[in-house]
Amino acid sequence: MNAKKHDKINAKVEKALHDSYRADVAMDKTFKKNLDKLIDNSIQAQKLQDQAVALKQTKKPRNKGYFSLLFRSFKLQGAFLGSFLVLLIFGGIAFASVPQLREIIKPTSGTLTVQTQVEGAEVFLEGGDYSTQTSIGITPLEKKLKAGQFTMVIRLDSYEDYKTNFTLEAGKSANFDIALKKEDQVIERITEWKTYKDVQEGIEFTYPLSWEFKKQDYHSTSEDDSIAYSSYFLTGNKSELLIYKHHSVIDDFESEEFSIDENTYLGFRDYKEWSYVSKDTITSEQGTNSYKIAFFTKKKNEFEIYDFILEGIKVYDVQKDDTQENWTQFKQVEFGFTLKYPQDWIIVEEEKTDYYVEYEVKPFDNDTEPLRIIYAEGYFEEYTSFTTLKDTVTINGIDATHFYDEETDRHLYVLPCRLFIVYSYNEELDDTFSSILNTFTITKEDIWQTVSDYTWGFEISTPSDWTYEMKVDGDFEIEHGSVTNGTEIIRIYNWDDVQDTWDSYHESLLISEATNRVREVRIGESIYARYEEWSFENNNYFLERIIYIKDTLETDPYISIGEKNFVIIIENTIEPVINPESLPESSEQTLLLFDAIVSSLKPASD
Amino acid sequence: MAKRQDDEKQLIDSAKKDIANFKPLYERYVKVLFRYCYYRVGRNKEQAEDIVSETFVRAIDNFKKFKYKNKPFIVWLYTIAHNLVIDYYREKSPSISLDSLPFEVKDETDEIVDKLSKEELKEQIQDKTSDLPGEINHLFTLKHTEGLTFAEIGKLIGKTEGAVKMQYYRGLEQLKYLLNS
Repeated sequence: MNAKKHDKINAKVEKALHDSYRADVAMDKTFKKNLDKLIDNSIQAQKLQDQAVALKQTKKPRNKGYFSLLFRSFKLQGAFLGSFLVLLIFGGIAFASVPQLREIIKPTSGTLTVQTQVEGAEVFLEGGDYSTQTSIGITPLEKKLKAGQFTMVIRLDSYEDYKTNFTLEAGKSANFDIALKKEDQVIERITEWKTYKDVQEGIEFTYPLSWEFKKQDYHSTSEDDSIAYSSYFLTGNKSELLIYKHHSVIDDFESEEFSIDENTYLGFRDYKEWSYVSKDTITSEQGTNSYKIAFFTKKKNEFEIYDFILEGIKVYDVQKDDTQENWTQFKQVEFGFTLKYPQDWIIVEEEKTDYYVEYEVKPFDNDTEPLRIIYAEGYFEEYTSFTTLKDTVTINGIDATHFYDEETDRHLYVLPCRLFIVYSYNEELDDTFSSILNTFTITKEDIWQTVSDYTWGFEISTPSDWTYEMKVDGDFEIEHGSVTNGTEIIRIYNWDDVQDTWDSYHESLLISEATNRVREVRIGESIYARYEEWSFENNNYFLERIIYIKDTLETDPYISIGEKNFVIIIENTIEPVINPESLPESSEQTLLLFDAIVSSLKPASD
Repeated sequence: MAKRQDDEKQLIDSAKKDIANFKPLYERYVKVLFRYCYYRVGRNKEQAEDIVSETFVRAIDNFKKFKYKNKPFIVWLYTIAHNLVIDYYREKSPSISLDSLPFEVKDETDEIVDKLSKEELKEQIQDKTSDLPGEINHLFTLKHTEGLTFAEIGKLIGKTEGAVKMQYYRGLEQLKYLLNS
């Protein structure tokens, strides 16, 4: 490094040093008062001592013996003794008090000073005279308080709350000089999101999984409709979101513009416990459907979450086709769908088990390939034969993934909630098929849910009583996505995190002398394998683990979802069996359910 | 400056006549002394309060011994406080010894210091001053808190201006070393 740069750095350090030593140091007022008293007492004591010395010098007997001193006039002796006693009393007190004056004065209060590097933070205290958390001012702050124990919280927008307990002693000061920590962007702290879609009401939105969700139906005043509309309540720690159609009291408040960072919102400030209320309205494309949105928050930075949610709210036109008025309505209550079909058509239940049901919809007197509606709670095996991904389509407002099987010239629509529609193109019937599909609704949206993990960039559908969270346990003892219903756990590992240990893990599986079985499954858009590892003990086979892999365990066995790669492992599941090739129906169903969940993995939608 | 010195001389003479007149001297210097002590004891407010109290009590006790010979009164107060600070550090666990620090820091240290923002640098300096050897902290306090010149510091601590300057710049290098440690 050259000398010029060295000097420049030294100058920089010296400037910082200067600033650091020049910071103003406030002397505690209580201390100053006590010190004033100490100085007064010390001066008084010194003065008395000086007087006593002076007196002694003035009255010093000249050429007189010690004896004669004893017999000096009573007046002189009295004055000397008097001064001596005063000196003893005041001086004694002052000397004794020199270092511990505070004990003599016995104050009952102390001083709290709080400074924050960014000024303007609000200071809250609980304890002493404050029975509940109370705001006592804004930094920089100096406040005299009755001695006691306190809990202090310092709050500033965009900074993390600072909380501490302290004891304030009488006559002393408690001084805090705090560097508040800047909050991370709140949006980045939320990694799990959930998408809710209500096709009948024509609304879709995505919200943090940790927020509480409540749907409420509002009855109209008209007698024709039992339910007029639904409203949705989302509750987080510091904010609430209301997506609604009913009349709310906040509709009566006059709105005005306010700005957060660089964005402008319409709403009002300081309503009940909320610092901000923002209002919006979203209307469907053709204007037949509209929702009001109200966001209530205590913290300014929660608007990041609001912006994200707002962007994801979609309001659809709810279609009502008059030409289908005379059609027959079919309701499948158990598996949650309805459709309408022409009166000269029929619906036939082709197959039904506890977890699989298939209906054929076709003209009464026509033997052509029918429209098939399938509900498969477990994995829908036929899925794998549809190898070509065509596109994403909307069937009566429901997003569906469209696949095609070139060999049989059939189309497959994969709908949410484990519903599938299969049909072959038929020139004669195609319009009717389309019209039927336009009446299709899902009535049990809550059977399955879709959870998005934006950190790892995927979304996954699970039965609604399953949960998704990040955990650390299982074979690898590292962070992974855990999909569970409390009994069964599907662990989703990021390949980047396990690839270094994969070889040794794979070896340990080989040592276990397990019998393996591999089945083909579709995950997202590609075909992968379900690898089952069975061990044999006491005439029983135990399914040790299931691993969803590319094709082999050996090298780079990962599954690709979007741009990221994953390995999915399920351990210790289903009861032991005598023959793994012939599972009891309940076990088969469990495995199909795993396939169904895993196969729903796809890149998170924006 | 001369006027202030004249004022000070009058105050001292007055207090010499009657110690009851010490109070204006105390009022004039209490804040300055507190600030000096605060930085000398590593920004420990309570400790600074104790040393300030004790300094004034000793000053009152020994005021008769103080001789005004164009030496500012504050320098006398600093001397008393300085001795108390030394006692404080003697009781406290020792700070880093002057000898344990390198005379010149390496280029890497300069690079690291160069990368710090002004605020970061200031914060780190605040953290490290209590670790600085007492002599260096004393110099920095006198130079930056009290704004004394090297010559004035020299008079105060009984060294030549050149020696003070050299020690000061050596202190800067050592501070940089501590920032990097």
